[in-house]
This record gives sequence, C-alpha cells and structure tokens, in this order.
Amino acid sequence: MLRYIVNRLLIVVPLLLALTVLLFLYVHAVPGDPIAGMLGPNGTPELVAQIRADRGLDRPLLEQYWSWLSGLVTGDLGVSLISGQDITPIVIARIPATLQLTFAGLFFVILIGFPAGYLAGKHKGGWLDRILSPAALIGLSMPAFWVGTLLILVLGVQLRWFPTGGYVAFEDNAWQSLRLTLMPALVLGITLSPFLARMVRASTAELAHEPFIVQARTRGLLPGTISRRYLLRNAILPVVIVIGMQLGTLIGGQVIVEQLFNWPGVARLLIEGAVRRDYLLVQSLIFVIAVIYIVINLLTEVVHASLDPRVRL
Amino acid sequence: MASVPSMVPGRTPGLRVRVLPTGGARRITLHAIVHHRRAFLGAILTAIVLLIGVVGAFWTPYDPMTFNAGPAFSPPDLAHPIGTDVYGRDILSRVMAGAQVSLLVSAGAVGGSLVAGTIIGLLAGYLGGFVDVLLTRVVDIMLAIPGLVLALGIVTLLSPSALSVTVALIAVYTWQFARIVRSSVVAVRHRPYVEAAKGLGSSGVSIVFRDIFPSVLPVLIVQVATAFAWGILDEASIGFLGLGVQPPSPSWGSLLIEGRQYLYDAPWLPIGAGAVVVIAVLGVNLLGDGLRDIVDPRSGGTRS
Amino acid sequence: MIEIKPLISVENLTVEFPVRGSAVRAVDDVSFEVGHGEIVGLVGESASGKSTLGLSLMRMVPSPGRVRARRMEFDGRDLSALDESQLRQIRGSEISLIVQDALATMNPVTTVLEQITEVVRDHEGVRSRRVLRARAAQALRDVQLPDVEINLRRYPHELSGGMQQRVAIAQGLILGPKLIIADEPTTALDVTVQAQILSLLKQIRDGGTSIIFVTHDLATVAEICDRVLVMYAGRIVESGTVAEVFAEPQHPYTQGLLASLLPLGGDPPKRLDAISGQPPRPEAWPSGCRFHPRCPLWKSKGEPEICVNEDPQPDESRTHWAACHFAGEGVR
Repeated sequence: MLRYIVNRLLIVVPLLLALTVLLFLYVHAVPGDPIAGMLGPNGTPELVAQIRADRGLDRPLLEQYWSWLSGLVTGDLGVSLISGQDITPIVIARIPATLQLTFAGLFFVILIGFPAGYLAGKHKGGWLDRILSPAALIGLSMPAFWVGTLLILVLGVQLRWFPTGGYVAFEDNAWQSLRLTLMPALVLGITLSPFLARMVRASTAELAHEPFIVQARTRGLLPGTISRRYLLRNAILPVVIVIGMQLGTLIGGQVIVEQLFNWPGVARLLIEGAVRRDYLLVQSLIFVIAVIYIVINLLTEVVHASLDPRVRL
Repeated sequence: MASVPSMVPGRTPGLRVRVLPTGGARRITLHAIVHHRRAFLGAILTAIVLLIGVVGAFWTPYDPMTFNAGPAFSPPDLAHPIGTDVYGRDILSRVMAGAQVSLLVSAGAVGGSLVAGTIIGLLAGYLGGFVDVLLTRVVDIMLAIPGLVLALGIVTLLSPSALSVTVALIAVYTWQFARIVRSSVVAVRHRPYVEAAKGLGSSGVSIVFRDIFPSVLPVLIVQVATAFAWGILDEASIGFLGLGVQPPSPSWGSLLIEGRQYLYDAPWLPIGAGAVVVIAVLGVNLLGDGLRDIVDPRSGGTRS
Repeated sequence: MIEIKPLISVENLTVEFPVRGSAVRAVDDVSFEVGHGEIVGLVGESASGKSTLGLSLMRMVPSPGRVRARRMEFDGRDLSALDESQLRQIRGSEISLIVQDALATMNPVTTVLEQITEVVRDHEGVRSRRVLRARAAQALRDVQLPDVEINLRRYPHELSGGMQQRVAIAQGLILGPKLIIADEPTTALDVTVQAQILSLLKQIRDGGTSIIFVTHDLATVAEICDRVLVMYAGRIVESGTVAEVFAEPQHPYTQGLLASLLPLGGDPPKRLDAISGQPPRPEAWPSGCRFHPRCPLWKSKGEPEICVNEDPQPDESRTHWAACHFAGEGVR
C-alpha cells in the first residue's frame, strides 16, 4: 500500500511540475499587460511600473518562475496582484468552509445517488426504474444555480425553513452551521447524484447476469443474503470510482454554489479573484485546487482498493 | 459540467472508452433515431430550441433591449409569459434573443474542441511513440484541472465576452475529445483491415481518414452531443458568475446574473430563463443518450 | 447399478424459451432416471441442451425459460409442484450445482470462509461463528484442500484454478446433498488437476451421493461414470451403462463421438472427422431424426425417408437403447 502511494506520487510530481509551468505561462505569456488590464483606465504607466516592481514582475521570467516554484514547495503561494497580501493565509482561512461544504455535498450525492441507482438497477425496467431513470436524466440537465435558486425561493423565502445564505463555523455554532450547510449541500447532492445513480444503475443491472449471482441462487441462499452480500457489496465498488471521476464536476458545482449561497470558501475566493482580475491569485488558486483534486483522487483509489480485494496496490 | 474522468494518477479502473467491434458499431441513421423513443424526443426538443435560437435572431415579441416594454417586475401574464425585469424589458424576448448567443457559444466550443481534440488524438494514437507520450501527458495535465475552474482561469485572462467563453470552453473540452479519439485509434490501429491497408501501401493520411476515422465517428458523435449539453450549461454557469457575456446584451448566462440580482423581486426571471436552459440541456442529453444507445446497445440504457 | 427406486426420475421434461412469438425447445421431451450413488454422464456438443437440462433439474433455467415435465420426482417429492421457497430449500442442500469456471461463480469480494459458511447459515440457521468455521474447515479438508486455515481467509482470486474448483465442490458438498450436477467441472483445469478432481468425485459417489456429470468429453465419462446419456439436439439419443455404450454404441452419433477418441496405445482412428457439419441450433431443429443431416449411416443407406419424417421411438425400458431407426447397424 505504502509503496503504491509512493509510486503514485512519483507520477504526480512531474504532473504538478508541468502544471506549474503551464500556470506560469498562463499569466506571463499572454498578450497584453495583466497589470494594465487589471487597473483598466486608472492605470497610469507610473502606477503600473510601481506595482510591477512591488510584485517582483520586472525580474527575468526564469527567476520569477523559480521563486514562485520554490515558494510553492514550501507552501508559499505568493502574493495577491491587487493587495500584495500573502495568499497562503487567506486560502488556509477558507479551507475549512470549503471542505465542510464538499463533504456535506458528497454525503448527499451518495445518499441520493447510490440507493436510487441500486434500486433502479436491481429492478431494471420495473416501475421504480421507469421513474428514476428519467428523473436522473432531468437531474443531469439542471444547472446548480437553477436548483439553488429554486431551493432558496421555496425553502428559504417562502417556507422560511432555512437561511438563504451565509456561513458560520461549526465550532462557533454547530446547529446554525448545519442549517446553513444544508441547502448548498443539497444543491450539490441534487445536481451531482444523477451521474452516480446512472453509473450504479448500469453496474448493478450488469451484476444480475454475473455467474456468481446465478450460482448464489443455485445454492439456495436466502434472497436477503443475495441482495446484501452479493448485489449490494459488489454494487458499492463503482461508487468510489465514480466519486473520483466526478470530483472535477463537484468542484465546478461548488464554485457555483459558494457564489449563490455567499459561502466563504476557496471557490468563492477564485471567483473574487477572477472578477477583480487578480491573475496571481487565480494562478495560485488553480494550482491549489488541482492539488486537492489530485490528492482526493489518490484517496479514492486507495479506498477502492481497500473495498475490492481483487485490486492490489 | 465540463470535467470528466480522472486521468491523473494513471489507472482509472472501470473507465475505458468502449471501442466497438469492427463493423459492429451501429450506424446512426435517421431511421434509428426516429425509432428510438429517447433519441427522438431529444431530437425534437433540440430542434425546438434551435428553432427558438434562429427565430430569436430575427424576431422577438418585443425588442429585447427596449426599456419599459411593460411595467417593471411584472409577473408572468399573457402579455409577458415569463414576466418583465427591472427595466420592464420582456424576459421571453430576451431569452429568445439570448438563445443564439448561448447556442453559438456552445456550438463554437464543441466545434473547436472537436477539431482540436480529433487532431491531437489522431496524432497521438497514430504516430505513437514519443509524440503519444508527450500528448498524453499534456492531456493528463489539462484534465487534472476541474473544467469550470480552468474555464474561469481563461476567461479571467481574456475580456469577458462570448468569444472568450467559447475559447475557454474549447480549452476545456478538447482533451476529452483527444482522449476518446486516441484510445479508439490505438484500439483500431492493429486491426487486420488497417494493417492490410498499410500493406497495400496506403499513405498515413488516407489510412487515418479512410480506415480509422469512420470507426471512431459514432463515439465522437455521441461525445459531441454530450459536450453540446455541457456547453450550454457552462456558458450559463460562467454567465451566472458574472464572467461571461456581460449585461445588457442578452445570453442565457447574462440573463441569469441579472436574475440573481433581483431574485426576490422577480423570481420568474431566474426560474424562467433557467427553465429554458434545463429544457435545452435535457433535449441534447436525451439525444446524446439515445445516440449512445443506438451506437452501442450494451451501454446500459433501457432500450425503447 | 440401477436401484429399484431411483433418486430422481424425470418424464417428458421440456425446457422452452419464448422467442418472438414462438417457443424454442432447448430440451425436448426428455426422460431419464438417476439412481442412488451412481455417476451418470450426460454427454453432448455445445448447444445440445445438456447444461440447460442440468439447470432445469433445479428449476433454475434463465428467464424467460419455462420448465415443463409430466413428472419430476426427486427423493419422493414432485419438483414441479414445489413453490420458489420450497425449491430454495432443496437447492444447494439436496441438489448442488458445480460448474466449469469456479472463479466466476464465486463472490469476488468475500472470503472463502464466508462463501462456504453462508450456505450453512441460510439453510440450517447456524449462527455460531465457531461452529461455522469448523464446518467450513472440515468441508475443505473433505475435498483435500491444502492449508485449510490459510485458504479460509483468502479471496477466490487468490487461489489456483484447482483450489478454486475444490472450494466450489466444498460449497456444493457441505450440506451433504443427495445429487450433484457437475457441469464440465474439469474442463478449465490442467490434466493432473483434472485427474485429482475426478478421483474426488468418485470418492463422493462412493459416499452415496449421486452425480450427473455433464461433459462433452467421452474419455472422462469412461473414467468415472457408471451410466451415460448421450444428448443431441435437445434429446437423449442413447442411454446405457458405460460398458454397454462404449463396447457397442448403437446410435451413429455415439459411434461418431467414440470414433473421434484417440485410443491410448491403439491404432489412431480411421476418421477423425467422424461427425461432419455443425450442430443444429435450437431455433431450427431438423425434422424427423434430428441427427439425419449429419448422419453417415443415413447417407450410406441412400437417405431413407423414414429418418427425415419420423421420430425414432426407442424402447426406453431396456437398459441400453438408442433413438435411431437403424439402431445398432453402424458404419464401422
């Protein structure tokens, strides 16, 4: 297991290195002056030059890259183009909120997606399948902002069951924090679970034809045993893989949801940076998000291997 | 939305591009679509949405840019089926006028990434060796960035406009096309009929286009439909975040950001404009799903 | 070998699959008996219906197939009159099925221990882990699996092919079934392991269990079976003791099968292609005697009409019979 993870990291490191090159080029090799672009009409040449010197953007490209890269290795994400503040503490401050939403969202994705997919696949072509499959396709077609808007209008404005946005840290007020998390997490669950449901449905339906399921019946096992130990335990396997596959979509969905619900997470920081055209901030955040993405992906593989004895790490 | 399987750490169990057996790939014919319930429904919805886009380019019930076409914040009624916005503009007219922008952005994104991805995939798959390794690595890196995040990064760099959104989405979708094409080509390259063509002295280009490309085509068509649905969703999402087409010019994305500002005063604006997006995406998804079923009947759907 | 009161006795068994309005008969009007403690070989080519016949004895044909029979008596009970839950109690405990690809028939995510004990739990309601473990260990020792304690903790894919097949047999044996249907249990194994499994099956038979040994391989039939049923195109075409059938095959199909065996140490057979042509498909069984289009005897007799138009009606009360209008004549 350990050797596997080390091996994986050996692949991931050059990948990340290449990513840093790409992101660096992204800011520096594009036509036009990012600082002038950021400042717009207010940007006098003197101001532009001053900011450039302040942020170290007047040094040779290779030197800039090297200092950025060595910063990243030590956990220093550089400074914001606009404010000149260190990015690292800002990002760290936002990570708890983001992870809270990510895991709450994942919880709903699995809570909705797995049972729906499993039941539809187990009774493929049955009445439940004929309701769930079209529902999944509709769910797949609904943008997160739309579902979120509907939830805000219905649960928040009309029924007043839940606050329509904002964030309270869990350790400050657990109850309020959960109330605030529910709606955005539910939006992630509703919009992202259809994909999981469809994959689980397909794999569960395929299981029914597996020789080991047929053989289980010839051995006179109780239907409950076949469902639990044969169908269910094998149907769970693809879930982890699908979660890994969907991670990018989850992060994309989170960008929308954090914005819609005023959720002070990393994704919202990215939007703020993008809107204010803070290229350095966006550059570092994309890197951070890619790292999180890769790490969670690695985690899903490890979890999958621990669930499926056939996979050897 | 945009991003798909993790390529990142090498093995992705259970997720392989299914390459269809030689000649076994069902052809996508009009007949097949008409006789497939979901494909047919999807095709009709898609056609309606495209029609709205075309009509909206030339005619709308009211001028989409004119203020006070009706009272401000008028809820849906007969004169304004989806109501009016803060300036009293007719939302239905704006949705119709916005359709062309959204559909063109999506079509441009799909077209651009189809061409770019196919070229990359063909090169990597057919040439193999160093080129393949290099291009595959690049694809891996690009797919390591969540799609919407990558798109936002690129939109930030360019000015917010329909064109930049298109460019950004091309940069997001290309890699998925490249990967599909590459794995299909690799799977097909050593099949007897391709080997035979080589033996007969066909040139590389003609082998690629005469012998390899046709076998990749059905899978690509399905991917085009999928990507088109993503395109509509992503344009709207980027617009919603305020980084896409800017108000006042209408696109489904820019309508949504206006909708967000007046969520409590005119809920019909985000709901109505969003519903149109849902219908458009649903149509394309149905069509794509149906096509996948036609191309590869084992892909898991209930046939109809 | 034949007992006065057989263990299982089947009359006019038919297995049908509805296909586009009509019904395809994979097994067509078959009657036979299996006595206590005997191994009956069921021999035939692929698609002859032999595997379907084996499954139908558990009333387990894949849907939408249907099993019909005038009589299906197993150990004093009528199988065709039982409901699904009564059948479940018989499956795995009184009738067991062992198939060719043992690995594919095992749950990939549970250990050998769990797979063997779940049958005991579900059929006998035993809950004690200690008892279950002891039962499983004993069952594995009974099938001569080495390193029982280690292998109990393993997953199916961690075992060798021969060990997998032994575990599969142990699963089938643990409740002491009266009948084992062994569907090509040795086909996927290499020769030495095959011999071990065959001798294991013989020991099981000697313990009083009856076995229906489904195979396409006459050599293994000669090695372990007491009687043999030859199946062709959904029907039994010849039945007799192994000694009778091998010494004096009466049906041209059986003769062809035997002729294609390479005799050990003897002269090589004159014609390896003793049976030419492809076996027919259930959707299009030939008329009359279903073997006639491929029958060398029919051809050498100048293609008589009777073979094309009439079903042979053998006297099934004899110990050795063949469904052939010219039974026993042969072209040798």
